[in-house]
Amino acid sequence: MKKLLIAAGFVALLALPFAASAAAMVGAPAPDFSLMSSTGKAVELKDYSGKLVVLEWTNQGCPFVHKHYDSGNMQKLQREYTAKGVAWLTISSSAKGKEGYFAGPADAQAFIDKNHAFMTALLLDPQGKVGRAYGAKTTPAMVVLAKDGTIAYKGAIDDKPSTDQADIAGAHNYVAAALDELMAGKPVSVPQTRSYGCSVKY
Amino acid sequence: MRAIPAPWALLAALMMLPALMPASAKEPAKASLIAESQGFVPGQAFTVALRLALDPGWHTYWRDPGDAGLPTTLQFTLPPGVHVGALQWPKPRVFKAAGDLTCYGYEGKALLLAAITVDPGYSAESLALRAKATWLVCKDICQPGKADVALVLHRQKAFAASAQAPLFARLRPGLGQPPEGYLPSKAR
Repeated sequence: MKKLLIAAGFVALLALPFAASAAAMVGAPAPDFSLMSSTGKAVELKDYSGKLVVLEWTNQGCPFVHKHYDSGNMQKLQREYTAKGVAWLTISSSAKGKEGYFAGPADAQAFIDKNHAFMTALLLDPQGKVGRAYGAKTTPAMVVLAKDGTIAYKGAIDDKPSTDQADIAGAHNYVAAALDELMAGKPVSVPQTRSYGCSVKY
Repeated sequence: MRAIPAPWALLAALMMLPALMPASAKEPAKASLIAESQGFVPGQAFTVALRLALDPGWHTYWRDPGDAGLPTTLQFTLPPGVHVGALQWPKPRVFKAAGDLTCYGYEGKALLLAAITVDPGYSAESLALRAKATWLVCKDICQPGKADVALVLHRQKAFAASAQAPLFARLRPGLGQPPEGYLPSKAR
C-alpha cells in the first residue's frame, strides 16, 4: 500500500510542471482574463465575446516593437481592423522594474498618445499571468481569436524576423491574413508560426 | 594670451565628450574581421571569422536564437577568384530567462567562422576581404547592430598561422554543434 502511495505521489509531482507551464494552443478555447487597462478600468476578454479579437504583446523599449510602431505599421493594422469590428487588445507583460513595464494607466496612455495608436485597449499584465497563459515569448507576439472564442492564430506578426523597418513592405502579414480569412468565413491557412522579437520581460 | 571665445571653448569641450565616454555606453558589441592565417596562398583555403567583442553581461545569438533574439548575419563581398563557404557556428551556450524562456548564443568574444578559398590563378599580391555583419546584442534590453568589416591579406608562399590562430583552434572541436539539451524549436 505504501509503495502505491509513493508511486501515486511521484506521478502527481511529475504532472505538476506540465500543468503549470502548459500554454493555450491553437484550436483551444482562449483563456479568459481580467486586466487593468490604460483607461483606468478593468477589461475582461469576455467583454468581447462573439467578436474577432487580436492580442498583441508589446514592450515599448524593444527594437522589434519599434520596427512596427515607428514605421506606423502596427497602428495602421489596429486602425484598419478595429474599424471592421475587431477588438484589438495590446498587452504588456513586463514585470515591475523591467523594460516595457507600465506603472499604471497613465503610463500606458502615454504610450498610446506618443504612438498615435488605435488599439481597443492597452492592458497591464505585470504579473505575467496572461502572457504565460498564452505562451507569449516575444514582443511582438500575436494571437488571433475566432468569434467562437478559440485561438485561430498564434505567432509572429509577419514573415520577416528583423528589426529593420524596410522589411515590412515586402513581408507577409500573418495577422492580417488570418483576420481576412476569418472574416470571409474561411479556415486560417497558417494557424501557427514562430514569433520573433525580444523576450517578454517576465 | 588672448582668451578663447566662450562659444568655441564650449564647442571644443563638447567635441571631446565622446572620447571621454565609455564606448560601451552606446555600442556593447565591437566587430572586426580576423583570419587564422597571416596571409593567403593561391590554391589554398583559410578560415576567417567575424569577431564580436561583447561587453560583460551582453550576448548575441546562434543560428537558431531560441525563444527570442535574432541570429548574427555575415555577408561577404569578394574579388573575382575568391570564394566563401558556409558559415560555421561555434557551439553556443544556453541562456535562460524568466517565463521559461530559453535562448542560444554567445558571450565575451563571439566568433562566426567561414572558409575562404583562393583560386590557384589568383595573381594579385593582396586580397581585400569585405563583409557586412548584422546582429542583435541583448542584456536585459536589446540593441540591433551592424558593421562593415574588412581585412587585407598579402600573398605568401606557404601557410603561416596568425596571432589569432589559437582562437580558431579552440573553437574548432565545437563547430556546428548544438547547445546542451538542444531541441529544435517548433512553431509556437
